[in-house]
Amino acid sequence: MKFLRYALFLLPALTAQAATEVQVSDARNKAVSDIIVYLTPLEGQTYANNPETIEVGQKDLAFTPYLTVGQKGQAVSFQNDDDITHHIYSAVGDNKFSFKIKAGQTINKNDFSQSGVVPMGCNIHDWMGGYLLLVDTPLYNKTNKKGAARFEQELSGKFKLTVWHPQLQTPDNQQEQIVELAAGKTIAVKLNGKLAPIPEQVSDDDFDFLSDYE
Amino acid sequence: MKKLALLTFLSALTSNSIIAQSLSIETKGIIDFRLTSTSSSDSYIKGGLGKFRYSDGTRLSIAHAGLEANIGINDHWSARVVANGYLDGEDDAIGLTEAFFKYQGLPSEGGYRLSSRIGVFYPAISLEHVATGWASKDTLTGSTLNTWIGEEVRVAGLEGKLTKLGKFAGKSYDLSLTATVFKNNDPTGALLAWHGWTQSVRQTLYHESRPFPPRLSPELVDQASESDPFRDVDGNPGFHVSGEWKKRRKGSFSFGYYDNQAKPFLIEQGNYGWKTRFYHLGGRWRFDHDLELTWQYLHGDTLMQNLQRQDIVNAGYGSGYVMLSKRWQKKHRFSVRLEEFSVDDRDSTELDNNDEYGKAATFSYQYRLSKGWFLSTEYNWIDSWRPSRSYIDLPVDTTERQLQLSARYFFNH
Repeated sequence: MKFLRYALFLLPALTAQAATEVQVSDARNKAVSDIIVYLTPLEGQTYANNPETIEVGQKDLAFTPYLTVGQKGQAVSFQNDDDITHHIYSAVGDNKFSFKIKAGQTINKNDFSQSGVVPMGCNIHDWMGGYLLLVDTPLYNKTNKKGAARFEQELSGKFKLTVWHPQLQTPDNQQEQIVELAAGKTIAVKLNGKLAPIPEQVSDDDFDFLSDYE
Repeated sequence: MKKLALLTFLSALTSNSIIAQSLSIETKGIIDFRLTSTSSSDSYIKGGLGKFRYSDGTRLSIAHAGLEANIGINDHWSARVVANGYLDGEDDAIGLTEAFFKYQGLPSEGGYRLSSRIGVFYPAISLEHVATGWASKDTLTGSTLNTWIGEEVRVAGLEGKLTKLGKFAGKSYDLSLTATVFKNNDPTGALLAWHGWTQSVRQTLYHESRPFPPRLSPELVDQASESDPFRDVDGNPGFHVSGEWKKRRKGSFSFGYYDNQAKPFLIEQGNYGWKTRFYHLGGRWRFDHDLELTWQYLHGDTLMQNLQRQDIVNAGYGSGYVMLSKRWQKKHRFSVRLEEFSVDDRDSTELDNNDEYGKAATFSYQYRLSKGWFLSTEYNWIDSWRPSRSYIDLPVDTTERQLQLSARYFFNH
């Protein structure tokens, strides 16, 4: 029994050792959090799709989180945690959609069949704006507060590493490099472009009882 | 007839239970309890020349009770019905102020969005009345400019609006152009000419007629004693066009032109057509999140003729205000508004001098008690010159004052 408990305790540590980390920093070597990192296998390596549902929330009249990443074809759940209706849409790209979502409602979508950027807005609250990035690989993540994106899968071989953020001031808002990965390896990525400030998702007037008379 | 049409509109939306089940309904409301001490004469609301909605004296009132229903029909179409009521001892009334269908398209890839309103609604002019039920957000009384909009300017028509959302092109500003054609609103201008500029939050309900001050000119024997500003007299359509530039988190600039294209010599059931046209400009600037400057200016003219097409009332008019509003600790708000207004009588009709010139100042403090409750106190001062006051034995030069205490409650459901 005691042995088993030790074994369970050690298990995450063992898997952690196998994980690959990508550490993203800006030109001044400061860690960059909440930026998307994904890896595209270049040598035919295959990895299991992520079975989880991607969640895109609306809370306090803002997309929460601002930035979400998933694999094309993955289920996306929209959750309205506000006490009013939103009209969520994407008008640009290959995954255009729109629907009204009532207070407290959840809407699931399984038909994001194209990879690419899905800029989202609310047709009632124009200041709301968020992004969903759909990639062609199950190897994706966002960096944590320390600027690290972890990949728990055992990765080895050649990959294309892409860093993407809508405010990254580079062509197509991304930065790519070819990397050779092995279990436990940490890759450091330095951003070539600046990260512009994220547009604030805040109403011009925070009075709670406006009607659209203007 | 108008009442009937509105009731039909309402019942068409709500009576059919199968339809009702597929609709989403959101309601919003406001109630405004007010203690007012007014130093004036008889209010314009009951046919006097007092510039406030309250006649001389002290009273407790329900200054405004409003209910708004927003009915979602599908992703693009919705309907809005706004009912307002007043229990103020001057002219207690309840009824509808607006009822319209709204279409809101999705932005195109370039960020262009088309939207439309069909029905009875306010043309987008006021920068003060942006809250539930057309309530004024920061003050207890609207400016003279927007009090007139609430009294006489409301259209039954079709509006189309094209917005270019800047965020699609990485810009921080939006541009919009709006055009409206409308059938009603032919007597608009009559109340402004005959009682001048006023200051309150009383809106004319769609079914209501408003009384004029006594008129002495023998030229006006056919004129009814009350005005029904939302009537159609000649079948001629009127129009309103406007444009807006809006910079996110900073401010806006808007302009517009209104012309009801009324035939000024036609009369129907005592209501003449008044050919009324004006342009309006306005802007808002946020120096920071808690300090905001709002201003508007409106200038135009109105014309009413007898059957021989001689000018009976020919008047130019203008009104403008500047308001500075400061908020602190998210709870306290202090607003100062300064105004100047005039009416220039250009006809030679005897015993019907509609000249006016005046200035007004408003000092308002608002305390936010909770999400929905707002406690306010406000001081209003209007100093004006109006020769027609002499017709009812009032001094031509008059200063009117008002002190108000209010508890306003807003709610969403």
